[in-house]
Amino acid sequence: MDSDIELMLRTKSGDDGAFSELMRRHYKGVVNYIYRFTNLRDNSEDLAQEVFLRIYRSAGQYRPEAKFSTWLYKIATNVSLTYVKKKGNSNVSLDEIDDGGDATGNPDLDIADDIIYRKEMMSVIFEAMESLPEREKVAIMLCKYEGLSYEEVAQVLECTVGAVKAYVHRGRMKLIERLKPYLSEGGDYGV
Amino acid sequence: MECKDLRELVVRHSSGELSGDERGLVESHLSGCGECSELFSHSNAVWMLLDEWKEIEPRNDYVSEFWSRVEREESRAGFWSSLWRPGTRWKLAGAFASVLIVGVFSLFVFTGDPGGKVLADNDRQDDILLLELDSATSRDTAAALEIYGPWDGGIDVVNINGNGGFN
Repeated sequence: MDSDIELMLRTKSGDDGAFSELMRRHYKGVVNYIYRFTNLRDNSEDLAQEVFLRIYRSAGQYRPEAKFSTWLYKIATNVSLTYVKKKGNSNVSLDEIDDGGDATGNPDLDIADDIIYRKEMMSVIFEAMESLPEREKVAIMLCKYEGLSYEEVAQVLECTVGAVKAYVHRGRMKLIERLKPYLSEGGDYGV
Repeated sequence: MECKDLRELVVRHSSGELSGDERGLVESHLSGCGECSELFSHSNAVWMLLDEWKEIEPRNDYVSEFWSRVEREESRAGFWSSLWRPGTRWKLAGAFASVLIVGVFSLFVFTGDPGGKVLADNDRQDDILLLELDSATSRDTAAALEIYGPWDGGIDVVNINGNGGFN
């Protein structure tokens, strides 16, 4: 199987099929990364398309100097930050937040409660993440949700590995303080 | 080591990042420190709480939607926008080079070699000069050559007398 770099080099030489394969590999990750950044489902799909469009347009200048995924998430981070800054106020109402599930209006009360619970938890987590400084938020999201190593996050943020470890640690300490009220005494959590 | 020195390791241990010596050090400390044990517990719970933020599934037609978007943007922006397509520039450069080669070749074939005409003119001028030189040489040296007598097609005998003259 071709590596991401090989697929990107094939894209560079005009092979659109190779780029489609790259999208199949990474699209879901990028959509979810942007979704967690903005907490808006529809926009995350549009913004993910924008990310891949930028990569496709710059494929002609592509040089395989770094791992493809770090380049991809660097662009995804820039696109997300630009969107959030342009939007100005990133506070999102509860109705706007997607629950990530299939809200079909099932009359079963337990399921309805579960949906409300999940929406509230997502809102709480989103607000806690939003309260973090930009770099701490990006570092935690890339490590926690996208599974990038500290070295890869360092390439995305253009800093040292030590700095990434510091961002993650400081961010996690703040999250613990903010989310502690939502944890039950046994270390488990509840709303 | 004091608690503040181990706090980062405790948090990292709660998400299973430590290995070997560091893990042993932290576990040894946790067994005797209530404050750090609580931090470990909260850190672990918060890390798991973040998993409540579930993934979403993108729509199924995202690849075809992407290429539709590429086409829409190209048609909206016109011909020049298509130049950013990967590989397009090389194809254009190849086409341009081909046209250039065919053009230069055609120029030679259909207009002849202008350099040949110049050479022919020079040759004719050289011929004229040679004829004039030949003519001048004949006139100037005619008298001197008379000492050899009439040209009879070859030199048969040359006698030199005692005074250094010819017989």
